[in-house]
Amino acid sequence: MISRSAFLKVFLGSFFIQASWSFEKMQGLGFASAISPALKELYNDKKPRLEALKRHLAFYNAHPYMASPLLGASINLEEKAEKGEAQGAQVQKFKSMIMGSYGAIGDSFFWGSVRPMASVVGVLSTFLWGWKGPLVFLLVYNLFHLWMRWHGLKEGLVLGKDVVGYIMSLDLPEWGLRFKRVSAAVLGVVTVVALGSLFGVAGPPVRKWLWLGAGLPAVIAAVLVLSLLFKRGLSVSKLIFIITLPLILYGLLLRY
Amino acid sequence: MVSRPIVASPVIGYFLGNVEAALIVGAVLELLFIGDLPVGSYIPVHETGVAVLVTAATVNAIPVSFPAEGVLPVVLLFAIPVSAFYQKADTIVRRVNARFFDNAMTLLENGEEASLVRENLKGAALFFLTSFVSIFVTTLPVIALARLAGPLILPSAVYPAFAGCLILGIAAGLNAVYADRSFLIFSVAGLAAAAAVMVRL
Repeated sequence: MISRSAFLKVFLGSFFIQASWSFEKMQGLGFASAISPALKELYNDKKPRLEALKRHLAFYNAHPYMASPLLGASINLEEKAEKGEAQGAQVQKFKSMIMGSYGAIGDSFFWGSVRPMASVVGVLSTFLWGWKGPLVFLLVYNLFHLWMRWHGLKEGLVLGKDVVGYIMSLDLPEWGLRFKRVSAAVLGVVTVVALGSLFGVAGPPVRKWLWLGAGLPAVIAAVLVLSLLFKRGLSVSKLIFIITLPLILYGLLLRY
Repeated sequence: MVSRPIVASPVIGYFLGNVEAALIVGAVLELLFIGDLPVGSYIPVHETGVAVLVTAATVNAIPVSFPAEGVLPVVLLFAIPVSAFYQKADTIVRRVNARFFDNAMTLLENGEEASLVRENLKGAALFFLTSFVSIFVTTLPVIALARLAGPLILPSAVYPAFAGCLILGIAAGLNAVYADRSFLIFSVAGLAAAAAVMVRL
């Protein structure tokens, strides 16, 4: 097992896994750089150490946070290879087999569920409590992000190849689905909080009922239509022009 | 994740002396770019660059204690074309990064183990430098323009466009978290929250 200082170096190195991201080798250099402190400790002789480093300096692409369990498992396998219990080629084969699925799981869970959930909760908190909103975003996001980086690396080190079963046991796709539903509900509340004040719900009662009876259903319908336009492949940049330009002109006409 | 607009905008707003306006800018931009994800080799919109640009321009276009809602959509219209420039710079950096990989391989062949960490950090430094220069170069003229044009903008005329931006952001968010029944959950939560607000008022 590697020392605590090597573990910390690998953990910190995992934050730079995308530092030299390129179209050809993607995170290959980042992975090799992150695992290098552990290999330096595992291999006393220079020749096998260089061989191990070269093994990891190859094409690699997965979700950056899911690299941690794979880094841990790779270190575990390298330890076995150093003792002669496994072959160096097996480490590379294991990495190649796993990175695709870890990329997909991580993209769907972290990019597709955790980040939007942290964003909508942060936005709602900003509208409600001002400067505390960004802190809420950082807290929600990093709770999951840092947990996977630290715990994933630790579990990978202990379990080796069996880390695959551990990641499966976490049931990330199911949790991702639950987080998406939570985000959808929070977005509903964001709609009321953010747009309610613009429509003047705190004003006279007639405005209140106008907002509830006509304003809010109209906003929900507009959100549905815009969601369909997103589904049709329209980018947010194009939609910003399509929506804001006519509304600015409308505002000017209304004003004068 | 400090690069996200919800965090980056208030930080810029703090240095420019208007956190209140920057918080609104950050929240709206966060929603608008919520679904632009760096999956595979796709380069998403440089949301940090857009956040810095839009926040700096908005804060400079309005006096303190003035609502950001009154100018944000106008600034956004100028910022979106500039964001394509940031994306292009990002793409160039990722092409150059391939050289660091080749360098590391050559140096490793020569027995230089430390080259891995060094070459990898060169990539991070290049990302930082390119982003800093491209954001700095584009933000200064936009700030100057915002200071000149800011007083000419009629805030009340821009409010409908701000509402449009918010609705678009909410739609972007809902699209990002699309799952079975998500629209139903969104609608029910919205109506329930509205009813709760009505009762309280």
